[in-house]
Amino acid sequence: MVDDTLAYRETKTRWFWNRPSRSLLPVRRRLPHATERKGTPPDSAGNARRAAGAMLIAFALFLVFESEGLRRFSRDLPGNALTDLLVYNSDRWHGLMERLGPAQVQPAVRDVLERVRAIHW
Amino acid sequence: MLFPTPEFAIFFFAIFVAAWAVRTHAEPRKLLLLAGSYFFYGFWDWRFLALLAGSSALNYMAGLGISGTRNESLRRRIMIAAVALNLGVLGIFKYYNFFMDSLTDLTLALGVHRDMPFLEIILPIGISFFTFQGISYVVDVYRGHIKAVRSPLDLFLYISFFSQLVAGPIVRASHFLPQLSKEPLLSRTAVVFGFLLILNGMFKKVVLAHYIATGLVDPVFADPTQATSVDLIGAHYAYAVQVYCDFSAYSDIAIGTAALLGFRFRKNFDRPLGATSLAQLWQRWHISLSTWLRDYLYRTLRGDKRDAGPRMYRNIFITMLLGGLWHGANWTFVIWGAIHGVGLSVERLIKTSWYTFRQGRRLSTAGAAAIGDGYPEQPAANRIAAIAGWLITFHLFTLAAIFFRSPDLDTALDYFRSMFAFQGGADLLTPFLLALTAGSVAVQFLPGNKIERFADKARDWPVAVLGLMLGGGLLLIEMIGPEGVAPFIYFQF
Repeated sequence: MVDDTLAYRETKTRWFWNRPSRSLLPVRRRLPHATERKGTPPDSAGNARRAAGAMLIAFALFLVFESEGLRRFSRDLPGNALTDLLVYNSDRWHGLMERLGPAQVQPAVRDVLERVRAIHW
Repeated sequence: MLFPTPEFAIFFFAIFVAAWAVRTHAEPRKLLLLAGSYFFYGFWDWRFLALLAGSSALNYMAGLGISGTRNESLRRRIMIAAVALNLGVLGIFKYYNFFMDSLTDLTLALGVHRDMPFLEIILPIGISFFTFQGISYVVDVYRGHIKAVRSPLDLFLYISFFSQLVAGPIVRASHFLPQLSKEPLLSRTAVVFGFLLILNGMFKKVVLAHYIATGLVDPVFADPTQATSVDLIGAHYAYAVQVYCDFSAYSDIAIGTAALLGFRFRKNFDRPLGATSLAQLWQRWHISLSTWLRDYLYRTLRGDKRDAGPRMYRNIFITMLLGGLWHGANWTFVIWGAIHGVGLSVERLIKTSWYTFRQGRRLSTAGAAAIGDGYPEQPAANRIAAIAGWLITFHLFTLAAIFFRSPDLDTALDYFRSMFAFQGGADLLTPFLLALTAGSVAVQFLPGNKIERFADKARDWPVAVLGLMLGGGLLLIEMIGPEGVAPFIYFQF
């Protein structure tokens, strides 16, 4: 499969005064994510499972460290029996995360950022 | 549905899992992606789904009509009618009130007062992008660059594919449609590449563009007469960075999500703020739009013959002027386009004259030919020329961006007057905002393709590590970013 997502690939480090114009560069025809390293077709189904697994881990991290965001999100949903249940459980979950500590990471990080932002000349 | 929202994360995960589950069944996969794309678009305003479907149907039928006859005159008439209808719809939604407004000003200037029929029109999100894709398809079929699509499903998906539907990149049919007829592939590198592009885009949009906009650019542009010169100078640089971060962020996320679904899109921004000439800048800034303007506007103006005289400069100017007007129905965009049109023409004229002068004196052109591997490195004089070229290009771009950002001409002129008054210190321009702005410009000078190279190195990382990279990165962006997300600037175009 021809793959030119990466319109070109620089073969060595170039500083900007030596950087050629895009239109003058040859388009790289075989690019890394069309095939696996040995030139064999990729195991697309297996790689999709890998990606889905990584996304689930990312969701899990958000549930733990961004429980406040989950609570906000559930409260913005249109009201019905299901979302009421979600709101109730997200409140309980956020309370638990606050007690255990992960929910306090975000305010601490924001606090540091705000102090940096407040620095003046 | 905005990219940096939980709604999109859930939507994308569902589409991703379902699309790969049916990957060996081409038609159900296309149907799924089409339904997902219409859901994505309808989530914003379902009333415009008919417009999207109508635009797709028009271009589908025009393609069939062009390919169904050998009568050149009829083919040409169908193509012109389809392009005119596409532009007509775009014109009504985007420019109707602008022209009515301008007509009112004109009649008042002539001493005649007439009430103009203004309309309350909501601009459908992404209309420019799907219109441009439709035009490129019809013109490419007419020019014989591609064959007309027989399957309506293919064309409807091409026009509405959710990754690039709302703010580009403007994908060409010749690039997208062949990918639909093949089984999608997903390598390990593509997985990491997609994640990294999403992270990169989210950081640029949620952190860089946001803080620069809310901390400096928005307050300064709200009333330039109240800002100090230092803040105004800082804000005009910062705005160029904000626009870059905002525009390129959307493209990064679009290309990244498409890569995860097995589609390959071309790069849309390639470190444009490090360009050493205006021509180079436009080869690196919103590449899909600038190549669209080149292929369907500039080449149409140029016709079959290649010319290098005043006609060429006129065509460059008209292309950039219309490119400016495309960004919005406002004279500030027209002036912005005119500045770039004049700049590109003057640059071309200088380069041509310089080349002719050197050829005439038979001087060595080895340095100027250092364009690829194996060529000699450029001499020191050319490095100085490159630095000077960057300074001129960068400042022309940032100064022109004042017109781009200003809501009207008066605000832009106030901005210039206050900026060059050289009064007052830095009130809003804090070290934090200066670091964000300068850092964003500095990374433009690094050698390219870092993301691709890193993706290649990280391809064999375990799933847990990939998950931590994706989740940890997004979490950090969420933590240091603001609450809520502003829409992407390109949505208004």
